[in-house]
Amino acid sequence: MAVSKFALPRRTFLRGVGGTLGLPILDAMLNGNGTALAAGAPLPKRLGVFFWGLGNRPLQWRPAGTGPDWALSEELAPLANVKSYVSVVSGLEIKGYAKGHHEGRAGSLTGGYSPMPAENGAYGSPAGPSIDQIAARAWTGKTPFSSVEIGISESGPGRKVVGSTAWRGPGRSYIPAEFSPRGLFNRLFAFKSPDGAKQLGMKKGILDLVTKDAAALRPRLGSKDRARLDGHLDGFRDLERSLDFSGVQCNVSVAAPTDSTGILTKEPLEERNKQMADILAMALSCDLTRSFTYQWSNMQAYTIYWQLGINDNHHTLTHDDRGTNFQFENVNKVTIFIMTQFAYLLERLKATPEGAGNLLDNSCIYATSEHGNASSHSLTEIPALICGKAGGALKAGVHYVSPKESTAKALLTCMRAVGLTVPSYGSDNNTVTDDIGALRA
Amino acid sequence: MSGRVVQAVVFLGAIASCTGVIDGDAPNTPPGDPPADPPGTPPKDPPRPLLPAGAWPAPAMRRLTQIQYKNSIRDLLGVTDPLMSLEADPVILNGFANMGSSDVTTSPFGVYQYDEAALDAAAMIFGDATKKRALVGCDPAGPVASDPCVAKYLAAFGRRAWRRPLTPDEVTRYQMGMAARTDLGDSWKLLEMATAALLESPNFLYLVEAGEPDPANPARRRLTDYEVAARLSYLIWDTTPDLALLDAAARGDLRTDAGLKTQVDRLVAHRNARTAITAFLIEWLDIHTDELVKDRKVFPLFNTSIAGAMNIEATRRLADMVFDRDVDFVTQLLQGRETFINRYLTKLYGLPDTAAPPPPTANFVPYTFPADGPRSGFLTSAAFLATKARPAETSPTLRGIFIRERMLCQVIPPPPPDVDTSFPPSMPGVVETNRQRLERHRTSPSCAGCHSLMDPLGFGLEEFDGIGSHRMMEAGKPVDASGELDGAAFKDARGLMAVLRADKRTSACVTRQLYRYALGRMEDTFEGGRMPDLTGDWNSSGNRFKALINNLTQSESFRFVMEVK
Repeated sequence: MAVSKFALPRRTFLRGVGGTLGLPILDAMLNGNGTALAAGAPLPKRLGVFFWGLGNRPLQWRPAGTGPDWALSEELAPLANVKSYVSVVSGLEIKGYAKGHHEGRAGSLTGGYSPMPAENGAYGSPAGPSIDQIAARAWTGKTPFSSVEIGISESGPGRKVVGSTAWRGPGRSYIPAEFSPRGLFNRLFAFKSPDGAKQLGMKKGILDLVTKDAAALRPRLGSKDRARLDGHLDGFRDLERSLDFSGVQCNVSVAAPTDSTGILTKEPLEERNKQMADILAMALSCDLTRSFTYQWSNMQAYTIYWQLGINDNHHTLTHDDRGTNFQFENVNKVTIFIMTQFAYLLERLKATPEGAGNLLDNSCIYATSEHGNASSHSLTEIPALICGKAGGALKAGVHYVSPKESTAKALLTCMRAVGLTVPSYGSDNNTVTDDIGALRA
Repeated sequence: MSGRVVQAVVFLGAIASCTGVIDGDAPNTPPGDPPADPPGTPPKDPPRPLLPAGAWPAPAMRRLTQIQYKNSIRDLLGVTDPLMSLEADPVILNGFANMGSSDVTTSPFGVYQYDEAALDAAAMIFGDATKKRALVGCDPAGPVASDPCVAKYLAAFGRRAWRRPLTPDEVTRYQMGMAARTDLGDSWKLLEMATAALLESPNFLYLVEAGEPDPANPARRRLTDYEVAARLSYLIWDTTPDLALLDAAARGDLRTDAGLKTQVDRLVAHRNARTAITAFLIEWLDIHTDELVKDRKVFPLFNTSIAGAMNIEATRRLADMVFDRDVDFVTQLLQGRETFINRYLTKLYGLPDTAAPPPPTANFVPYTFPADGPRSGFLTSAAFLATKARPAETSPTLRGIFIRERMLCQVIPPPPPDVDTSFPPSMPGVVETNRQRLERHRTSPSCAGCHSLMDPLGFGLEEFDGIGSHRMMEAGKPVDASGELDGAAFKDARGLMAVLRADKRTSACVTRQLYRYALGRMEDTFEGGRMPDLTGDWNSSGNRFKALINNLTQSESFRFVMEVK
């Protein structure tokens, strides 16, 4: 085990004030076997989505061998230390939509795309909520934060495009990612003011006032704007909930991070990834949230992998204008780099003990991208990794070759593995009612 | 008048399949009897100037854009260095952030960010004894629920923050909310809390335009005086109304044409207008040089300094066109020659180094392109050409789409499913021009319909490369920059610009873009039908941009709304 790799000086950090409830799931709260809480409730399960833009090189991605007997491919090699936790799903497709980044992202994250009318001049969006938001809704109230959205590479897909991985529903009800490790740390673990009680009181007083403002405003609005205001009110409630939980103690063993200033052509990707993964592991361990998205890069990302000595941005690499294939080698290198970073996250969770096992034992983390081969905007061979054991619900460590099923089926598998009741998922030709039995324990 | 309604429907129609008749503003609609009313047509229009029932679309509740939020906090509190990170602007819809903002639902993370930002801003004032006294204007004393100083401040600051007077109930509610939290400290602390709340309230974050009954016409609602003030201020200044504008609203000045014009003229004359209106033009023309990615192997001249210089040139040129020259805007856009250059741009424009001050200064100086040169108007400036191109080359298609959609207000549908939209590669061993590659592309019937509308327009700009330098040769062959717009042929960029200048749809589209931006939404079919009036008035006043702002703000669509459902 690589525990020592992550061992940091422990210090007790009180999130907020006045609390007596001890978290992370402290040994005192577990039953004798470390498999459930003493009160009888099973250990919480977590659901996460890791997303990166622009797919892979399918031939360098797909592993040889199937079932439990498979070998890591060139692009999956970085996952060696967590291979027994990783299931690879090959051959998934997004069915029936035009070949584009937007359709691809919607399909890979939600199994459904809803176009905008042409007059609207905008791209469409997912047809329904993403799996992390279905989990967040189902588990609302159990943790201070319904979900956490993390972003690593800020490089845009252009200003006409929403860069987001978490979708609460169709249209533009997305949740943007937090790119600042310091910002995320403060939000999850700390109050800025040394006087936490006063800060908390201010926030509660403000919420009380603005919630009443919204209630008074509501009847004056049309139905569409009323729904938007209701979304805003949900945010007030989320904020209030996080304040109500402020007594929760969390032994924060990660230091408050400092944000590296980086320009977009030289983003501190590895450093930020480590910081974010450490914070996330801590937050999951303290049960501050059970649902997250981890957006390595945007759909159609312009990320420049300067660390690899590549000067063109990722999107350009996949669509080389000159009609040659010489940049595809660089796409391959970038994919390996991204998997190395993803491996850090998985290893970090694996190294975070919980009960008799670790965080990864109790999670399902779904990793995907908007395309297979992004060069042709392919909606076949969509990469999908289902990682973790979901508290024993997932077999883990298998290669499943799908007979060209929809991505929705793999997404549904992850949701059901963490105990969500979802009768069907996806839209249009992607609608499924069955998950992938071969992956379930 | 019903003919106009029917026309309007045509105006807004997308170029649905790129095979039928295409039209944005139907400049050449044949005269004759209007078609018969189809079943379900609303009753005839009442005589102008009153619009018929149903003519005012429900207002769009816009969330302040990032820049509007920051400007407003600056003007309300004098806090110019925002500590806050703010929910990013939503997707750019129809080309404008403020249109996406009338569609987005604020996320829980966004709510958290607004909370933090409001607390930060309030703390910066109330953490400073001098600043807090200056803001509040009196010393609170006694219980907050009955303290006249508190009530006075809430009313005064609330009116500025919410862009309207608070009702007595609202003031009381805030006083009660403060009284409930006396555990937090003294009255100053509670004022800090109330200030943050006023800035986190939906009444601040959203532009609510519900209107009020119009005594002159029960079928419509007029915007309240304060709603008009906010519309004006966010259109012309991109920030919250100043006290003078709020006072004009309070006096009822904005309800009269003359009073409204006085305020519009005042706002337009202020330097805030220069920044805000130029930002509108930059957004409309999609000049986003900060996002430029160019292949340095193909364009060794390109670097971030050049990209920055392109942006400054564009900004100064547009501001000059509107605020300093204030002559025919459409002509300037398509045929103007006056611009500003610095040393970074001389090479790109093929000018002698001596045309701009020597390094290390990167100062800009006025420059006029020669009348017989290839450059004709803003659309041949480097910023425009470079942002409508691909990293390693030009794109006649991208440039053509831009002209169709943003200059002529037409809509090109996206490519059909299952077509490969990557630029067609050349055959191995064959060196082709873009034109040759695209011609092959257009042999496919599913592509040809739309591409025949886009590519021939973009070909007109082929004499400028991917960073906007002029070129005579491409792929070893002389550049052929000939093309056509709906039958009007041209042989180069100058010709293309002349064709666009002669096309009535161009000035109509400028009107339309400002209209959309001002209201934060697309015009509906009926408004589209009224647009020719607005454009016609503008044309007859010589297409001066300031005149367009005046015409638009005087128009009924700017001042009236439909009842919301």
